[in-house]
Amino acid sequence: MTRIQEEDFSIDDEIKKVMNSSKRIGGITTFLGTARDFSKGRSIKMISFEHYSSMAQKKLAELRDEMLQKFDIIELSIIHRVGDIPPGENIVLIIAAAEHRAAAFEACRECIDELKKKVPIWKKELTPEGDFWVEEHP
Amino acid sequence: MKVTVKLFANLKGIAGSDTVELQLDDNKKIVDLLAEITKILPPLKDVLESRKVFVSLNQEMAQKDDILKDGDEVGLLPPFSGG
Repeated sequence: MTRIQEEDFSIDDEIKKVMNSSKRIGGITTFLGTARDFSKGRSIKMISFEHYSSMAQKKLAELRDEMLQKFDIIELSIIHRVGDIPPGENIVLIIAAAEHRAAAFEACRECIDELKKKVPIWKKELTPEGDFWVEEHP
Repeated sequence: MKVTVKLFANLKGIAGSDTVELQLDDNKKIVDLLAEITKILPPLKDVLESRKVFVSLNQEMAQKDDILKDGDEVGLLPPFSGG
């Protein structure tokens, strides 16, 4: 379950989809990335995400497969929004489900770290001083 | 042979375009394509030489000595910043 989309998502609905995938799930962890209104001393009016569509879809699916193989998890869902996102809204959601919590925590953490390195998505911050492409991934 | 080059994020602004079609001789490599594109779009020279740009070939990360073929799609990718 990986998706890239412009529209917002419902965290509850996405967790239900993961829970419905197996009755063996005993623990779920989520990472939700959201849009901030302040960065590096500047106010942010809007964050705009661009992606290399075909490659990003492929890399996101590969990342999910990699996490499912590496960790003792049952299901992993990754949803990333693109386009213009105002401060306070959702950007990215990762849901890791496992029999026990440890694997779910580890998979969720590594998934977001690897997503930032491997998936061709770029963030532009729109500020009163101008628009700035963000190059680092802290 | 014809190769499509796609540019993203700040590179689009520097180049003034998001797609460039290049005609190259057969058996040219990624490194040859980069030399050719800086001839056509000189403003890209500095950023391409800064090594802050990754190159993809048909949606996979590429090496500079990968050989191109007709119809290939090359991406010039600044460091990713999703998430």
